[in-house]
Amino acid sequence: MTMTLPSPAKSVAKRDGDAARDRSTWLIDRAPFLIACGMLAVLVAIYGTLREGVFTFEELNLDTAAAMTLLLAATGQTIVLLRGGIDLSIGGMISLGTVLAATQFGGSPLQVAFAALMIALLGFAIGVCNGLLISVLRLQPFLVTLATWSILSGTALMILPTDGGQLPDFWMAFGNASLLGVSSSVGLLVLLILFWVWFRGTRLGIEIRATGSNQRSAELSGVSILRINLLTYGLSGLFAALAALYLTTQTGTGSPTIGKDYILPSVAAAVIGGISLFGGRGGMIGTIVGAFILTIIGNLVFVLSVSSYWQPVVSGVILLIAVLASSLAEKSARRSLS
Amino acid sequence: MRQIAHTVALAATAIGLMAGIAGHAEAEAKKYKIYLSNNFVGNDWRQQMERVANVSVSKGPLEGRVDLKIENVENTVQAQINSLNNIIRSKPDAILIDAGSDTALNPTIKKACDAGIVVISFDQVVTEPCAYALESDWKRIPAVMAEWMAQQLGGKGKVFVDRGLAGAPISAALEKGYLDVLKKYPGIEVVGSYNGEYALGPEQAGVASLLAAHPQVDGILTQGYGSGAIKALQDAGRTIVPVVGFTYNSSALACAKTEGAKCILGSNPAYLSSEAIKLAVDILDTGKKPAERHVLVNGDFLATAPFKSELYPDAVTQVIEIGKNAFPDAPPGLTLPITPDWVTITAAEASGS
Repeated sequence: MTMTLPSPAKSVAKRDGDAARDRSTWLIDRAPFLIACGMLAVLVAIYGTLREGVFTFEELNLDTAAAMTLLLAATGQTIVLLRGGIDLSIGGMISLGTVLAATQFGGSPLQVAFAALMIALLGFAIGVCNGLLISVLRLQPFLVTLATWSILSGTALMILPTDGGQLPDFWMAFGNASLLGVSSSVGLLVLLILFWVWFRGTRLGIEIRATGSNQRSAELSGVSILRINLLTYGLSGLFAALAALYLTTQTGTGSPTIGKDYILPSVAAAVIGGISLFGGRGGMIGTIVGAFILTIIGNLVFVLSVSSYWQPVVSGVILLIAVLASSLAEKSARRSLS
Repeated sequence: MRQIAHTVALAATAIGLMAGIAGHAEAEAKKYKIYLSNNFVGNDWRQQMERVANVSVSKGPLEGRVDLKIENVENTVQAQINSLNNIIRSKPDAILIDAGSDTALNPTIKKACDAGIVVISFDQVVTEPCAYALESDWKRIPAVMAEWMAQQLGGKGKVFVDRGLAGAPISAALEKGYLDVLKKYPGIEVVGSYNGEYALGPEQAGVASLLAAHPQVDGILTQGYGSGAIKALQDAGRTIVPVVGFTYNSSALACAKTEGAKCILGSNPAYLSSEAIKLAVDILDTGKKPAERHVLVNGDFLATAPFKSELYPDAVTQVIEIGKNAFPDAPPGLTLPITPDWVTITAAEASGS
């Protein structure tokens, strides 16, 4: 019996080749995210030269508060996008959430805590309904969530036809509180990052990305698509409700039409941060970078005292760069696979 | 001795004069940094509002007194909050706000007030108590116009009433304003209502369909142009009845040029922005605050013939005169009257042509 062992020299060369390929796949996979980080760094650098005190906690507090509603909405959107779906109903949920908070919050902290919990649970339940419709009736996520957006917006308008309602002072004080120079919004940002670091390693987190990458093979390896849909859309609804609750600490009012302003920006923040609209690729950190890019552009346009119409123009250009990077990464990934 | 006294007197006068000049120079040098935050620029009124704001600080009593910066946002509350936060950080003397929401900016506005900034909301005003609210008198406008209509009809006749835009608070307020006055005349009957939506098309279509159903109508109270109602009457071959509308250039021209037309037009002047700037400068100059948080601006009415209101005796009605207060060469969407009385803004300046 003869055994042919691979010569040691050949095996090392193969290992090196594998490692090089791994490195390049890693780089290709993360290129859109890295480009987003680069863009944010450049924007902050320019901003830092134009305004005093940009590299202070004060600036971080202000920008995080400005971005937080969008960030919370985009967190839910990110989870849905990773699964390969989209959730337009967050617009309706945010409106409904602010309206319910402004009408149902009582005066006592206990009542407020209970009402806030109920709003968060309602968000989750509505998201689960979206997931159910998408899975059971096999409908397009875009159309299902377009319909629920409309239903939720109408409900919000029935409860409160125009901006109004009351929120207790301590609720708003919480949104603007700070501890040792760090605001509650920065605290929330840290919590969001911790949530993501934990969530992406969970079984659910891995299954969501696997389903987004390739639904068929995920299904074959035992992933329940129904469960994934219920939970991804449920989480998206939950985060939309949280976005609504945070928003009320900034506006102090219920706004039955305000949610629509966060739908497309939530998708834009995620895409700028390197999340693929086809599912499976990217992460929450990218979305945070994307949301900050959108916020810093607004500050930059102000400091440069150019016409504010430059803000959507610059945001659009950055979105285009992100989509381009994403599509190139997609193509390279496909090429290296074949 | 006398000579010394004379010299001393001269010196004193000279010092006094110099001090006077210095004081004067100091007052003149005080230039205020004022921001105007506008949530929406998608219609003629808002664009005229911004143009006249710029014109009114470039001449007249405010010339050289104000460094005016206009920040437009894309019609979202979040964008206006973020923009206001940026404005507050640049420490201006005053902020003027045409607001996207009457309540959602309140916490941000409170922050500005706490930072010692004078805040004046105008046009779409806010409920925050620390900010002034400068707007047209929306009670007076429909009341005076309904009173005019009742006078035209001699207290007797059938009218159509425009409901404006469904769900808009201002529409409901205007409709109520018309009806409250008309109710006092038992001979006047509202025979039909339509939604004019502040656009010519829906106004003309709404009136046309009501005309088809009602053989007799003696007056039409629109919330929009009024000229759409006149066109509908003409198309239906009816006599032109008295029409109530608002002071768009095209409305004033249609009223003046159409034979037999009788109109009154109410004004929500685009120079509310100029008035807000003047109020801010007055507060900053004198340190004196207006007694009331609400500051009402009364734009003159325009009508085809002189009219004196009994409900509001101080309401001024200008008779429409082409070239003087209606301008054939200016855009149809220009809002009249163009200028407040303390500065002269021309039609060309207001329309940007």
